Amino acid sequence: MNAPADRMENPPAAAYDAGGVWALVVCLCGVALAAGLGALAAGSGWRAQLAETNFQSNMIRLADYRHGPRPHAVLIGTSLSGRLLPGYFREAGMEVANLGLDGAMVVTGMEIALSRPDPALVWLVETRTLGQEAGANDAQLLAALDDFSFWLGARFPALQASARPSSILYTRMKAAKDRRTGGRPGAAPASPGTSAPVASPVDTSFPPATERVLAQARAAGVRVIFVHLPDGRRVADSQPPAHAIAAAEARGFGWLDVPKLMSEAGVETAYTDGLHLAAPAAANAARLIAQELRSDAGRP
Amino acid sequence: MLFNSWVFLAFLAVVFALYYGVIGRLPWRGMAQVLFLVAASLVFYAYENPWLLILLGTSLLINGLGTRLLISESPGQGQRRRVLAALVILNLAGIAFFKYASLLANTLLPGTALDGLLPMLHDIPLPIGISFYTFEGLSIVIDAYQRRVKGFEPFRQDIREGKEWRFQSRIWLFMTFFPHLVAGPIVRAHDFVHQIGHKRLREIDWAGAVRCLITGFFLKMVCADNLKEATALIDPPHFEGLSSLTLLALLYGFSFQIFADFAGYSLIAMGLARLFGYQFCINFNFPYLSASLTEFWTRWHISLSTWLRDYLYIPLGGSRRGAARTYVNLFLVMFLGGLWHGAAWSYAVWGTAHGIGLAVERALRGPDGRPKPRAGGGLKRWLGIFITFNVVSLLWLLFKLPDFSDVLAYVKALGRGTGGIAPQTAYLLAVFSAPVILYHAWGGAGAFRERVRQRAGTRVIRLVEGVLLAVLLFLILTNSGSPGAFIYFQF
Repeated sequence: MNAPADRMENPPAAAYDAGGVWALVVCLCGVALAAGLGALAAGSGWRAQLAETNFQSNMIRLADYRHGPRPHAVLIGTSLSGRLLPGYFREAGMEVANLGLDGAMVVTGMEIALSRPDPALVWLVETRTLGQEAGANDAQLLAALDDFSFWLGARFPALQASARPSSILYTRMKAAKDRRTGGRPGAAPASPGTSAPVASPVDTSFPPATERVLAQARAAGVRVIFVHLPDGRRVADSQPPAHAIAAAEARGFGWLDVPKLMSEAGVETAYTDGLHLAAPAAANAARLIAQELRSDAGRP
Repeated sequence: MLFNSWVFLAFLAVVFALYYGVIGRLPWRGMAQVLFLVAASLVFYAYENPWLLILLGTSLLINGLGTRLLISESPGQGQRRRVLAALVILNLAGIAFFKYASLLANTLLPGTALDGLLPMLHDIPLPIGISFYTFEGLSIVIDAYQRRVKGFEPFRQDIREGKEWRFQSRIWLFMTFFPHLVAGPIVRAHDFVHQIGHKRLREIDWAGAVRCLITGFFLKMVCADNLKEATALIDPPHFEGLSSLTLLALLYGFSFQIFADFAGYSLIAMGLARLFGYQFCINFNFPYLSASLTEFWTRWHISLSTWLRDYLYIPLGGSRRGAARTYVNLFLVMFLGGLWHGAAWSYAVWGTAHGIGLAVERALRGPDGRPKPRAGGGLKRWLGIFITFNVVSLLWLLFKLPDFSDVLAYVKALGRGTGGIAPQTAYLLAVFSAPVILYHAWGGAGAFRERVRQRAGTRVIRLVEGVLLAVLLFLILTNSGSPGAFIYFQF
């Protein structure tokens, strides 16, 4: 082995004259910048709605739900639900929070929804991963709720995920791209009708953790509505999962088939990546869900 | 206890306040400060698992008493040699049992003998920091045996004055000082011991400490912790469906992540040490500016590479015993250096691959093996930097994917030639790799920097640096990634 370069000694302390004042000013400026961003975010609503990582996207939704005012309804689900931003519902005249968690399971979203002392009155529960059990990502999210940083974020908006400069930039770039391209149309199914409802008896049970949270929600007076969202197909080809329909009926929950609503309204889906709704289609879906909620449809 | 946790921040605040505000005002404050730092370091170490103190305490005891024996004048050379051999064996036995027992059993024992043994071996916990404090223990006993090392005068003075406790407390602080205890840098006794003494608040190098801390926390919390969200895609089975372009971008991203993670840790350690009046040698010197693997190992994890050079390569004969022996030494040192990182053959292969690279470069350089003087810039150097970065990045796969079949599958997928990258991944990698690239660009622009410094003057430079550090602090506060442990904690 060749000898590494001479070990470099750190500069002597004497070289840093008046270093203490300089260091203090540097730190104060850094904190002041962060406080300025917080004030800007709080005052102008200049905040991120999406983030470049799944974890931060989820933290934005968690913080909005936990720290914000009590919403009328909450949409709980996966990244498919995550595209139906609260702003789209607001434009349709309804306050719907979003707990569409990237890379996490619906059961975790429901647990988080219940973690508020005054949970939303209506839960729109996406059916896609409803029967699946929580994993490592879910544990990380639940741990983040108990972290001191999350508590601090409630008091200092600059420390929330929605104030991350890189996420604000990402949200703006993504919105601009969505406006420019409008998304891609849904794909034809590989084997049409494979997930159509079946006549034979269907198992309506869920894993114990899901059953427990649903029971707690019911006990808390929450109205639960299962929601089937577009999942990469054209609306006319989309088939709601028989298991979820049967489970909703068995429990007396409501049921919303969004692709069907879109099809009836003559609205076509468009996707960014073949699975997630592009912004215009997501806004349409949110509008139709809001209309249904207002008309009290979906009530069993 | 993680440096990037709230618990550590509280710990640091309390220790700092007591160190200068209370302990530093006692009548026997020099010794008291040392013992207090040792106690605080043990609390830091034992926070997650107090049982680990037994192992660390044993190491302190063995190396403390052993160094005392070796440094004194009374025993003869034969006895000293036996003492050194015993100390080396004891140090290595500890790390062999706790870190390599499972690997050794898997490799050396027949399958049937493993049935009852393996579950037990797998249950042996890996004591955090054992690789680091074992190497520090070895360095102090070998230095003491050799007697020729500079910087040991404080030890000899303690012995002359009969101050055994002061002697031992110096060794304890050297081995346990919490900034370097769990993930280095691997401090050497002759760099550290002479610094031990009474420290005053007014003597703190605040500018240096803040510079190291902000840069270190930025590299770790903003760059590495955000990049890790993207590089998680390297893990199987996620990488299997990705395009070649994405795989290449992820590979580069992981290179930047591992640098930001470990160099960040080292800088934080340096900054923390300065808060308590101590200085560590630098551990990273812009490693991705290396134009060869030989140069890379003079810039990456410098405290490890110099340790391996001084305590393994040179004692093995270095390059003084002919070409064949030199190559064998290179292989052996890099093989063991690879295994030091973890108890898996992938680490050994990683080290050996670097060893092969070093040997090839040495062979190409000619009979004397000395590096030819390089020009500061030029196309050849840039080409060297590009090739070295790609080789180093490719070899990091062995760190990320312990299973060889996954490494081969990844490399095969890299060669598929399919294009396209998801915008989210591209954005994530570009935004959080950029600071690491700029950091290296800054490091590579030494002559330009010096010209600017001369023209603008120290005051302007300090102003610009202050603004830059304030922005980095702002980003630490607002743009950190999901908190995670340091990659080198597992070693």
